[in-house]
Amino acid sequence: MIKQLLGADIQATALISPDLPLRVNLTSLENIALIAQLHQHASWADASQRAQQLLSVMCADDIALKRDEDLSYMQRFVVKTARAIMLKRPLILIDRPACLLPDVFYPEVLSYILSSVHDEIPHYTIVDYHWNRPLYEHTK
Amino acid sequence: MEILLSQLGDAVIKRWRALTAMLYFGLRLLRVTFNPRTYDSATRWIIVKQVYFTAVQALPIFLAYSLIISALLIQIMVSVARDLGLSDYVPSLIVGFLLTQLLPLLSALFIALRSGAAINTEIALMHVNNELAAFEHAQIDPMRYEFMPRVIGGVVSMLALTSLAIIGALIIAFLGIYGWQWANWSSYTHSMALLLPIPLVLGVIIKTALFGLAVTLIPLKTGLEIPKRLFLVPVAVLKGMMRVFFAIFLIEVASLAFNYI
Repeated sequence: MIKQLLGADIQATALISPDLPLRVNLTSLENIALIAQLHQHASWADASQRAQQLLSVMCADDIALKRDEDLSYMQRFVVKTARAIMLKRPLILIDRPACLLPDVFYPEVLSYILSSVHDEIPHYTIVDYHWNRPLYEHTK
Repeated sequence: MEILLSQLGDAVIKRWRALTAMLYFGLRLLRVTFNPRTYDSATRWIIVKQVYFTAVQALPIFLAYSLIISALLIQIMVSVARDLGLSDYVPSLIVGFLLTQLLPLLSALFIALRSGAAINTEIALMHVNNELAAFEHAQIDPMRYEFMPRVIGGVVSMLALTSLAIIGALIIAFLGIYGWQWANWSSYTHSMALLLPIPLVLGVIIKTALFGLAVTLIPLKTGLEIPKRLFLVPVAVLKGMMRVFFAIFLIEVASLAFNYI
């Protein structure tokens, strides 16, 4: 479905999806830093510093050394968001946020996290089913 | 009869396909291994971690295991040979049986049971949990980041642990033959050097490296072969370990045939 929506641009899209889990034997910091190490050939020191900065911006400093199974839904979402930002692709797609954040009022959390990374994600559009429109009323 | 033949044919074709898939996987892995661009900071770090988990972490228990077996076997060889008046043949027996055959085999079994099973389970779980799909989405080649470091780590650890076991056995052999009379050390090392010519040492190194490949490559590939169902993970481990066992057996038989036939 995602491929159909985006057409050939799937390679230009960084997905945040329940179908793309974190690497379980790596810490949150390593999951994020790995992208910079492998794509931008950054050293561990540089990559981990950038990863830590992203976590700090989203007020999640304390989860840097936690592994996937120790994270709450929201913390996991933060790590996946940071990982997607690290990919430096033109478009970030959050796939089924309600599945990613099932235990919180996700429109509010999304709005908060996206505003905290405004420098990295300056524009965003929410596409949701029309019957979910009332969920977003509070942000207006 | 026809049904039997057809079943036999199916089994042969199935195994042939599995073998060719394994060889193709091995070739892809070799291509990544010999590409200098593979070795960035992340890959190097993973290789170091693999060597640590496979060799360094297992070192105390492995040394105890190999030294106890070596000491027992050497003691048996020395006392039996003395009873039969064949003491002169003890060093040849130690080299021909213990150092070049048994210790590499025992090291391979140790690493297969300890790390091979762990690799098989981990890769099967990664495969089932879609972690490899997440890597592919991020355009990270799992071959380079997940598979190759495990194989290199396995081969390096296998060579290092076998070397340590052989060195330990050589020291125990000296103590078994001469006791604490260190004056005999130089004549002992000289006689051992004569019994261990370079082609034999190279043969042991190649065999050990092949063991290292078998105990890492086969679990990796088998872990990737299962359908994405959690309940099939134990099946993948069982299958992988059986394949590893047969591969170790084949390498050992081939090595014995090459040396003695």
